[in-house]
Amino acid sequence: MTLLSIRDLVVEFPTPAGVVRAVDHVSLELGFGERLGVVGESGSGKSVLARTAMGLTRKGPARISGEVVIDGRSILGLSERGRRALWGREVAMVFQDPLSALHPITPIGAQIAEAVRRDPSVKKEQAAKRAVELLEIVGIPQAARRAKSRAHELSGGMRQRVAIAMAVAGRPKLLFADEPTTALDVTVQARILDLFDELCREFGIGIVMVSHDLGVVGRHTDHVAVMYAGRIAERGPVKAVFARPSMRYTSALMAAIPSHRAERQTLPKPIPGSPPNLLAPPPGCRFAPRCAFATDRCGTEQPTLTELSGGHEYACWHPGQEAVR
Amino acid sequence: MRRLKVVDSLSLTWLGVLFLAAVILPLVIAFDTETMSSAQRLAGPSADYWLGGDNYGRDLLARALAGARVSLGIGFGSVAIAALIGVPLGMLAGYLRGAVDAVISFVVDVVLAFPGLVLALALASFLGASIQNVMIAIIVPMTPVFARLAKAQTMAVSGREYVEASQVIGTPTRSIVWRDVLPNILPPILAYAMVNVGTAILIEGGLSFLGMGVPPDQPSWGSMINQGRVFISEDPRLVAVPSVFMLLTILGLNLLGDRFLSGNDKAGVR
Amino acid sequence: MTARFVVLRLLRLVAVLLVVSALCFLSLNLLPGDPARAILGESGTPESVAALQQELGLDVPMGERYITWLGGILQGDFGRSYANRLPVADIILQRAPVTIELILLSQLIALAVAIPLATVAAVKRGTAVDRGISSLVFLAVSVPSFVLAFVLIWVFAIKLGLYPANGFIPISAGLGQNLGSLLLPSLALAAGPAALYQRVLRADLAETYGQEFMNVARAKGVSPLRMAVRHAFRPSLLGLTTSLGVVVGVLIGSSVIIENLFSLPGLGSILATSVSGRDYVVVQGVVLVAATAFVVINAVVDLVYGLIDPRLRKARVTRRAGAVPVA
Repeated sequence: MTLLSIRDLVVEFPTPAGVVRAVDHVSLELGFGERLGVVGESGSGKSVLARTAMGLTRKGPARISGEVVIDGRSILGLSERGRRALWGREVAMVFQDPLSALHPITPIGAQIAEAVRRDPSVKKEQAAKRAVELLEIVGIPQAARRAKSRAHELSGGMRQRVAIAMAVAGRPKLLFADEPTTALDVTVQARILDLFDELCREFGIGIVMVSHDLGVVGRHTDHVAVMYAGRIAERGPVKAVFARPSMRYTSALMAAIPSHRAERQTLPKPIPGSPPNLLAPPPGCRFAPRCAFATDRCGTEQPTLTELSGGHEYACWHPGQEAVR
Repeated sequence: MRRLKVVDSLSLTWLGVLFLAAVILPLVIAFDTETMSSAQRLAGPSADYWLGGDNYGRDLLARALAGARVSLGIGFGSVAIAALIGVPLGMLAGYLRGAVDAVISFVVDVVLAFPGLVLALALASFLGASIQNVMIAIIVPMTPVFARLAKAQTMAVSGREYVEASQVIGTPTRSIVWRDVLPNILPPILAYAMVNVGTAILIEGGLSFLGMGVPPDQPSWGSMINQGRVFISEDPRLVAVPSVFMLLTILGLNLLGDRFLSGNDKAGVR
Repeated sequence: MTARFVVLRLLRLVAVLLVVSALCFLSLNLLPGDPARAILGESGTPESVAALQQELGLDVPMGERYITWLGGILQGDFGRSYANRLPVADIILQRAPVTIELILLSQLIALAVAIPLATVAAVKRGTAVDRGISSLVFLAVSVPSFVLAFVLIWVFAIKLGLYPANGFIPISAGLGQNLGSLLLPSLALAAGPAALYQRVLRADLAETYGQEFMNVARAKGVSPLRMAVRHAFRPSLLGLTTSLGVVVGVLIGSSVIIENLFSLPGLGSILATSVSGRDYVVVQGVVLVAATAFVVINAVVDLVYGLIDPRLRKARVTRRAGAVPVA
């Protein structure tokens, strides 16, 4: 049974300067209780992908085609009202910056209770109680007292815990997390990621974690999809992708992960150049201008996804683990 | 955007035509605002009197244009003087801070403690009705408004790199204020001044309407409305003509001011 | 909200009020020539001038006179009107309720109109609906209250005959009747403030709608109505509350004209009457009361807002500067 199925999704934003195709024919699948990491640089379309998959991208400014099915329901075919019925109950999202994501004035307990009360059978007092329980679940000490606090009175890590509590309050089956640790201190990041693992394990929530950090995603997800300039560059089980990165961009990302292991005392290697201008992307492989292995073919012909082993696919004409010659 | 431009040019056209007709035209031909004609009493528009006659049979259009001259003169004149006094004070307070700021801000607070029109009315009553006193009655409550705005703008600008750079290299305060601060705070102040001309015209209208403004022998929109109010059920035109002149003028000034603002930094101005 | 902040505010408030009272006192004493003669004007007989000189205590030094005068004010002695010899305090007490009711009603109408219009415009920002509302608002902000009053009188009283053009029905004759007699004047007064509120609130709401917590609310499945009311509204009140106090000043000023126009027996109409009748003691008393009320209301608005949203107190100081319409 698949929890989330994205098929041939295209998201375009018409701008005065031309059409920006932020997501370009992306297909992905996720099973119940599984964790998928979507990795890419900023501007790779990963956040747009997540927001569109959840149905949040507004039809006005965006042109969307393809299909997104969450637990058997096609979300793109639904009206705003129809989607709203799913939001917070079937599918929820944790945002990047917890300070701006939490309401500045409403106490955090009330914000969580509001999410709990998306289930109309829950009474007001029950919701308040449940909010405190949720705060305990996400590891906030003295939850009953903290429930009355406002967002600006909490630390960054606490805020993100609150945001996570709010997201899981409606017992969703699927949780999108958009760069959930980027705005946090390094020391706090690991604990928040552990919390996601715990939620996934204990409540069977499927998680799509969007991140620019392949290292983070590698340790906390089952599957990984690498995005570059709106396209899937490589995807597959984390172990397979980490063991044998094939698309050269993935290899470059791997090389850029700082290593703490003594046997790999190599410095992380930054990727030269910058991501392409999406108003005028390169005609062939989008990564070709920055790739050390690019040939004429890469400049003209788009590579398609090729299966390497069970579920591990890459889009590259010259696959290999090395990022530099 | 295009819609806004249409509105802008309409505003400009109205104010331009009004200026030409009220200020330039009288240099060429004299308006007859005083001749009373029984035939024209409350008469509708005609070839002679384009907007008809008032309750004394005087030419309504000529009087409205004469009123425009008074209103525009008082409006622009008092705002210019208020800005010339208020802006330097505000810049001093905003740039020097400290005791200077404390004193200026306190004076500003005191003057702004009086509701604008009430202060204007009180001043007009103590000073007596004349164009000059009406202007004083408008300038006094308006000056601190400019001071406050200039102070906020100056404080915002003073923190920017180019000003700090000038301070570091030892440029004299006078030339920093003159060359770095003033040009940057001027656009929002001009926009605000435009809107305040409308406000000044409004206060003048209010004072004249209450009989405390421009002396009765000089027609003003406010006093015309006041004279016409008795006849409102017989002939609303007497009130409507000066009202429409006043409304369009204030509207035009507000629109232009807003347009000017939206093209500039909005900090401190709302 | 620290205690220090409150105390400093209060001290400043008292200082401003002292200077305001001194100015009101001086205004009478700095009239050109002899105050008693100026007050009585051409009609003053030598005897009445002498009597007034004694009543004003002109033989005493000015500083001393101010202290005595201020002491009297604090005990409710504002002097006597020259038109009818009534105590000014009685006149003010008798007329203040009408003005207060008029201003409250206008504020309520203005807010009742502005809040929904601002919300709709902010939700539909950038659309024809938003532009339509903003055009209307621009018109409203540019209409002098007395011009609007004439339009209302002409339409409702003269053309439709629905309404007496003027006169005040006291509350003792029934609340409905009383409110009815204040309806047209309140509408005339409310239009400008409503427009100002709409502009300020719409701008703040639009800013709020651009913030991430609104996306979060949407992703939580919160309905658009609940988003507007429970999520967007409170964080967007900065500009509105700031203008609330400012608008009281505008309303006090405009009520002078509107009360005069609709023959309402409030403070505004007595101010207008006293000004043209040169009844300076009444002018002095009413102006002092109006300024005091205005200053105190603004201070209260300030403090209350600090309590509602302590997060924004700092931002408020910079943003309110320069945003004071005069009338």
